[in-house]
Amino acid sequence: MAPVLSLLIAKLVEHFGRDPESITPQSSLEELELDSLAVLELLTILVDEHGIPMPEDSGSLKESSTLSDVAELIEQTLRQSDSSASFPHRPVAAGLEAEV
Amino acid sequence: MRRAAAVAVTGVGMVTPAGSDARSTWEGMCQGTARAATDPELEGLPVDFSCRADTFDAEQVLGRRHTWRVGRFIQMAVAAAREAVRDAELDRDAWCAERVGVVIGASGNDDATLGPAWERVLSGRYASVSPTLIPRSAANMAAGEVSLDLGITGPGLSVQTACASGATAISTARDLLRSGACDIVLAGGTGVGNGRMSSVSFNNMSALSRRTWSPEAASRPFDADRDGFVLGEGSAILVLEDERHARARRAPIRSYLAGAALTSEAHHHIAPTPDGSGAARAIEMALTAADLSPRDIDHVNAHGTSTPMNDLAEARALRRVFGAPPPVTAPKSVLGHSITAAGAIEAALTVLTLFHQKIPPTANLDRLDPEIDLDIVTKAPRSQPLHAAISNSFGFGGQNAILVFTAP
Repeated sequence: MAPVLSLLIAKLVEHFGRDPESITPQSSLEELELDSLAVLELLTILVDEHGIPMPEDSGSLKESSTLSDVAELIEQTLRQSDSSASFPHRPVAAGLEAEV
Repeated sequence: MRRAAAVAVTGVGMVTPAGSDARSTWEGMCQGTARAATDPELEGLPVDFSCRADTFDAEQVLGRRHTWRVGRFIQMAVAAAREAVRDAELDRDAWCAERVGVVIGASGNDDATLGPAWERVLSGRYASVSPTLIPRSAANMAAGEVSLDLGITGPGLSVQTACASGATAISTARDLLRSGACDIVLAGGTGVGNGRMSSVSFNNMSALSRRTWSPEAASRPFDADRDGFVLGEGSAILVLEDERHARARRAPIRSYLAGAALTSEAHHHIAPTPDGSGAARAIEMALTAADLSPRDIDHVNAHGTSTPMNDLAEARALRRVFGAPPPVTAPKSVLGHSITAAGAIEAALTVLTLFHQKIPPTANLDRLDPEIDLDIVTKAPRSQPLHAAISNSFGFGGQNAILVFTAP
């Protein structure tokens, strides 16, 4: 599984009390019971704990978007961003930086 | 003109340091064991102990999927509200949701949520601040989440009168019922009074007990050696109901909320009127509202914080009103002071006292302050006929709330 997708699942388990067995890359946000505020919370946790920039177009995610769609959005953001300029306070976590 | 109906108490829910529901709390109160203990959350602070509701497991009660979204004070309110609705034998499919209200005393001072957020803002990590910070910590969200959880669509209110908040909420609920706006109101308070910021700031105000060598003996209302209060946490929610509505559905009636009064002392920012006249006026107004006289009252559930000034002023107020006051108990000796929840927890305990015809004891009363000439129930519960009782709550800003309950 792609590292960003794995990270998302880990965060859903750790912070949102989700059962890892019930999460697949194809799970929709609706199925995961993640409304727009919950998605923002998830993305903010990635900012806080891993220095991953907040995707500018996170609002494009719909209830029908899948976890893979979220991961793709994050990967796009990582490819486009210069994280050291955008987030001088916290580098991308070492492990993830190596993987992504 | 529609006659204001009597207000029945048909359900009780509680989360306290003595237990995670009403039954275990009542049993704990009757045992009279003080719950204050060294608190890991307060490690390193000058006052490092509190009364924590450590048997309350939010994830078990509410489910892990939902607990992340709300602060602990909201979690406790939702748990207490669910229990109160069960206790009242209310059928949520049968009630008219828009005739049900929620009024909860709460504070926005949620240290556990706000502290980390402030750290992020002060260090410039703005993007790391949780987008759920406001709904997780805002005072009104206790009532908001209870209404969401139970599908209630009538009035939703949050009240704040500091340490009287829970009792003020219950008085406000009485008004909603008597005005005819609601058939049922879930009313009470919730609070996590024992955060690090609270401990530091109340201690710097000289309001807290500093008995760090013996936390369990620190909260000692009316005792000659009292030196301040002990922080606590918890929630209590009552189901209050128009008596006609309650009788029509054959609800269990635990007691009646016969009267209430809210006053301001206009005396001092944080201190009570020393001669007790401010509190006495509130008690007299509540008795008038209940159409009772002082001699009708069999018991006083005291505010009893264990601070030198509060307890003396409260004793003076009781003597002003009653002459020879009826037996008194002070639950904060066992539970500590949960600030915005305290008035509701003590109201719930007064309801249970009338229901069981038994007054739970005050802990740690070893040597009654000679200036406090009260009959304090101590060491063991006292069973006696109880027809009516008052519950006192006094908040900073001189904001008082007195509730009068009568037996079913």
